[in-house]
Amino acid sequence: MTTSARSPQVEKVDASLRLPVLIFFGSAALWLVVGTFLAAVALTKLVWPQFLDGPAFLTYGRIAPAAVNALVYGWASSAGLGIALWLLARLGRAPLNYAVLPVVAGLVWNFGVFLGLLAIIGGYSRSIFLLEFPGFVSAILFVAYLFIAVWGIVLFRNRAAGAVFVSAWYLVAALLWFPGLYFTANALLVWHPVPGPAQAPIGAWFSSGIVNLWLAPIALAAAFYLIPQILGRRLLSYNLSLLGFWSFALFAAWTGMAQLIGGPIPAWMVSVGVVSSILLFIPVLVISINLLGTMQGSYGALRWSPSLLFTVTGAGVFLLAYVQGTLLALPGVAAIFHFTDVLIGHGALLLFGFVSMVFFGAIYYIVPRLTGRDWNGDGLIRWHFWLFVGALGVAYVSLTFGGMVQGFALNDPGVRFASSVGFATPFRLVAVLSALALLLASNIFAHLFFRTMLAVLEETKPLPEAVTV
Amino acid sequence: MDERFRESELASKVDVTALHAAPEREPVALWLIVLIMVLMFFGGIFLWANSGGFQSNIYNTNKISWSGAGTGGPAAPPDPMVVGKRVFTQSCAVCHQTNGEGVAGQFPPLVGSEWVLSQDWHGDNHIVKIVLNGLQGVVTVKNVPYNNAMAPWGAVLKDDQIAAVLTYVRNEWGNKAPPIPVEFVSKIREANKARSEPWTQKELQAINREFVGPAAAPDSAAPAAPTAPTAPGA
Repeated sequence: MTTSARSPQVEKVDASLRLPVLIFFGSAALWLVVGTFLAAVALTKLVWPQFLDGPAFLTYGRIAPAAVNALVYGWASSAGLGIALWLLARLGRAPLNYAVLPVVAGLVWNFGVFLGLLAIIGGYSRSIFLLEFPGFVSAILFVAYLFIAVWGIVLFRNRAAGAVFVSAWYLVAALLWFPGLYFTANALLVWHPVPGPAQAPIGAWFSSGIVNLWLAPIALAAAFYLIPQILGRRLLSYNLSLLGFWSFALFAAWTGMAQLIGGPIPAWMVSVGVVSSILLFIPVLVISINLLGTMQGSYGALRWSPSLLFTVTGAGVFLLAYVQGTLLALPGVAAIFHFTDVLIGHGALLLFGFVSMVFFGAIYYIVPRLTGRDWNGDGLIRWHFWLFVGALGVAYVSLTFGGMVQGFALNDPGVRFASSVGFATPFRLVAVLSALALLLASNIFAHLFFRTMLAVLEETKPLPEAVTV
Repeated sequence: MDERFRESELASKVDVTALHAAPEREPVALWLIVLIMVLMFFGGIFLWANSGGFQSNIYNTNKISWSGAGTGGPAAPPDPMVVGKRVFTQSCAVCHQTNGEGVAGQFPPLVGSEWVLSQDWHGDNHIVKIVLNGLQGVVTVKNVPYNNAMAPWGAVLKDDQIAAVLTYVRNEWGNKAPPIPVEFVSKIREANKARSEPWTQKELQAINREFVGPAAAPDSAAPAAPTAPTAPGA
């Protein structure tokens, strides 16, 4: 069951990356299960406050941020780092020397996430969205990140001569953007907090940047690689890739300020955020035309390639989620839906529907190439896909409708606040059931991954030493 | 299950990087360029109209018009009718009902009530005192006696909320009376600081009528004037 013959250089590249990338994917799979479990618990508490009522560490205010952080730093960032390293190595035909360093740094990163979650559960949260980890934990994560990302840059520098593929643009940009984002936000909000009014804009800039400048570029890089590679064809248009990348880089960083509409910050900052959100439609449209246009006429391939199925679905959700993001940033729309479940549904769509979906596709593609072994059980991949898509779709639709009802109720002076929450409850109940299905789907994925790993370990002798060049 | 649903069987023979670098470069479609320019144009207009001149001391985008006039400034005060409706729904509608008709024999109506509209012996000050401290004992509303107790709201509602809810009940369901300003409520609250028990009709009748504004007073009092002499005899 080995893969078809590949060039020795590619074999060497894959062998050098085997251990670090599999460690990133394995830990990501574990955090995905932990994160979706915590998210399901938090959602349940929202509908049924008596659930697990008791000790402080089980309260909603600790479980919910723990879930989000486990998903963003544990699952998505780890998986993204693994994907970024592999893609940069494969695109540049450059093996990873000194694999032991990213392996150690990856373990430290995971240890940091673990410590951070313990701190949140223990009540030491910083209470800033996506910066809840205490200062010493974000310092650990930052240093670990540098030791991982530097190998991405080294792989890019060591690339074989020739053109640089569009995926590499996004990856190098993301690897450089994340430390800028994370260091600036931690320095100004966690390590040495700036005075109050300036904190909100920094926080909004950071939380939107984590998606737009870190997770989304990696997911787009994976999609730009996987779709043409699996179909064995050229990307629809080189010029569109160029236009999409630079316009995305230009507008994506500014969109966060639109969240602060009505808040105590100068009007121009909010307006710049709104305008960037509107103009972000340009790269989103251009990127989608390029990705889905490459698929044109080949949708039959979705039947035989699980990674194409996940990736193309993720690319479609990318268009949907970012168009919704543009609409939600419009002042008239924000006035109604700003503080409702609509935004929760939108966040789930971005993190699960777009980023996670493409990451699943990439992992399904990469792991057989690293292990030389097929996925153990293709029926389960289908279960994973349909359960994940179905659960996410139902959760998204119910949260969006519930949030709309909630938003109109909040804006009706005749309706009490408590009633507006009550109106959303039945929709949240549906979301709880979907979260349980999502948890099952995540478990299937983790089960598939570790079963395949076990089979690899049993079949061959212990994994060949990855440190060899 | 489709046996071929497997990833590793795919032969990744193509080199996307080489394909990508192919010399032919497709032109970007004209409609896309036009769409981008239209979006950029409207984005620019929006930014120009809503940026408050990029000044750090202008916080409110709402007041900026398309002509650029009236940039920034404090937010417009909330409409007392909207705030009043919310307060009424939360605090008053349980007894006086959403339609302001009350419950026959138990809770007096607000619609066309001389208490609300400051007719007969009633003044604008009386209704504010009632909301602040409550009311108890036998009262006569539209010639119907009621014997019940109204809770005091002075500790629950702020002056602006009391002003808003009174303005609301005086101008809803066909009622028509001048709005109650916040300062008027504050003045009466200050004057009655020492009082803790609810008012009775007898006590209120002994208090002189006051009206919100000098201009408004004769107008609202005028129609009530002919009937005024009959009430104090009760």
